[in-house]
Amino acid sequence: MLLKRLGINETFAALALVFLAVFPMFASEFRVELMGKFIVFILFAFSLNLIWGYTGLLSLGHAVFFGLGGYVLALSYSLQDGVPSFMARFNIEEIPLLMRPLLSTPLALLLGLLIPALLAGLIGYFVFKSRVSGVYFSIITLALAKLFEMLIVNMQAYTGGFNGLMGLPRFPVGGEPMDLVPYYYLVLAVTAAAFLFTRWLTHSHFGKVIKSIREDESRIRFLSYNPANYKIFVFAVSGLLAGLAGMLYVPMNGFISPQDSGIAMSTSLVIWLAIGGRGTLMGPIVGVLIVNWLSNLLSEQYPTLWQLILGGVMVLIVLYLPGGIYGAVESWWKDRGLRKKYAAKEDQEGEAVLYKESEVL
Amino acid sequence: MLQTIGLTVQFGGFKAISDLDFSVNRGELRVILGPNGAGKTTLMDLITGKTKPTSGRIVYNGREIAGLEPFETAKLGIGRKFQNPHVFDNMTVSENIEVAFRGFHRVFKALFYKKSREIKERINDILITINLDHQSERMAASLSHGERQWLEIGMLLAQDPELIILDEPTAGMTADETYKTGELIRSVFKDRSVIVVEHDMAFVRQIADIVTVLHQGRFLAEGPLSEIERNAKVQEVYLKEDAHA
Ligand SMILES: Nc1ncnc2c1ncn2[C@@H]1O[C@H](COP(=O)(O)OP(=O)(O)O)[C@@H](O)[C@H]1O
Ligand SMILES: [Mg+2]
Repeated sequence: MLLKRLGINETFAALALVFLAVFPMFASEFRVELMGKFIVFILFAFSLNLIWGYTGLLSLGHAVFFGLGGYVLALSYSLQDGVPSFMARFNIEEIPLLMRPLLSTPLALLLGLLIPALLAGLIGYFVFKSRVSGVYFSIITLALAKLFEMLIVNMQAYTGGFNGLMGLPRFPVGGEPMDLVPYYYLVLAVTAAAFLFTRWLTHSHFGKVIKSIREDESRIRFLSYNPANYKIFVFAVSGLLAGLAGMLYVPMNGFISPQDSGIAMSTSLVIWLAIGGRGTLMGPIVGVLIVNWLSNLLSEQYPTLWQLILGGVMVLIVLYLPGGIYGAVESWWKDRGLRKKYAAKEDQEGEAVLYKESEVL
Repeated sequence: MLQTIGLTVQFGGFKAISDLDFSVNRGELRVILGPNGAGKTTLMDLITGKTKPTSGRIVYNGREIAGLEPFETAKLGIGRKFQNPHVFDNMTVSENIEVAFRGFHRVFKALFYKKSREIKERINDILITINLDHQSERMAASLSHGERQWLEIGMLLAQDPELIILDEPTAGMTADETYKTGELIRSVFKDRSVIVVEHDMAFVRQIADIVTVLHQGRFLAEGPLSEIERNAKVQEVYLKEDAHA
């Protein structure tokens, strides 16, 4: 059976990839665009999964990094035809010096990754080196989300303010914006690469160390590791991935607003990951697809009731499935495998084991 | 190899360790005895850098180590097993052993480290030694209390320290498990310096060379176990304990 040969994560990942890859062949343009956004959210959830799922540090302001990436690209687009109208309205006649680098698209793409990564690294440096507890990390990131959202709204002349930046083209290649479906596949390819990256990272020795930080940070300190360095690094990488997701989001969505960069978006992300299963490879995919798909289905018919249902489901999952939907599936599968393995072993070498137990110790 | 000079630590107004001179030689197995609250665990905290001394010195291999962080004392070769087993619950038995290996503690080393055949074999050897080779894929959380204690000893083996600190390694074990643990400690750590904090007298008799007795944060007596058992001051302290209990 496929499941056994490949392993549970790989099987589900392959199924998800096939599903997402054939989706545009059957769905309407509207649905393809929607699914494209979900794929971006999956990438975004990979990013939170690294810091929260694997390292155990809950960032409540992750949309800041998403928004930074998004706004860098959106501003870059807006500046291509000279001073954009939202700036002209405030009598700005020249592109501000600080924004000049964004005129170059490749540079903007690079900055959209580096700025969020650097900001995360910097916050990580101050928070983790001073060894404040994980709760403070959550509070600080939450405050950051509020601050960033307010900053964008207030600096209307440079950010477009509350309404955000609109009318953004899909990734222009050689002057022409990309079509929806090729762009969809680009996003899918980048997200698949991010999946492989997460898989590599979490299976590496580094991955074991961050998991042990999540399990018992004070213990790992007695094994020569300095957890602060690990946490700073993971948070910076997580910020980079979030920035990448933000950049892919802008062309898919066509606009970006402060709501995409603040508390609302950060909280949604936490919910997707909690429901899907944090600290598992497939959790982000399961969580994003299930919650968003249901949300789209139900919110049209029951706009207010849906919020309540989602809240209720969230509470139930936290109470009864702390590992999330996929976490429960995965641990059931692993237990089953182990039970079978031990049953087989005992049959084979039951006597040998007994002998060993009395001999070795 | 390890020496403390005038070591003192104060919590609020309370001196958990006061003016302690204590030393351990290379290759020695030292047992530390003392009633509850004598400051045994606190002394281990001081040596490993978990607690910083108020005054006094700790010299390890000719180096002042008072005030270092635990990850620094660990790098210098001090390994520790906690009073309550501290293992990583939601990781498998073999992952627990693997993170304990020395030499991969830098972020970039950890990222690009490849599990070599040699390391795989060492993991396997350790698992056999601690009798958990058939449980290697199980989560540490699902092990019994005794197995968790052994897993932590296995982590020490992987860490390969020069000075090993074992804080009540047999707490919560059956008599049989305790005996096995004693044999394990004697065989696998025989060339290292070991400090063992212990209550169980049968276990102490099994493993001890020299015993140091602490009482209320102070040095009380030191010597071979037979001498200590006859020591009047020690008897008094333990009798008082019994009277309280
Ligand atoms: N961090 C701390 N803060 C305050 N008091 C402490 C602290 N650690 C230990 N103590 C106190 O120091 C004394 C010695 O404790 P401990 O070293 O655990 O004793 P033992 O291990 O010998 O039973 C106890 O009275 C304990 O309450
Ligand atoms: Mg103690």
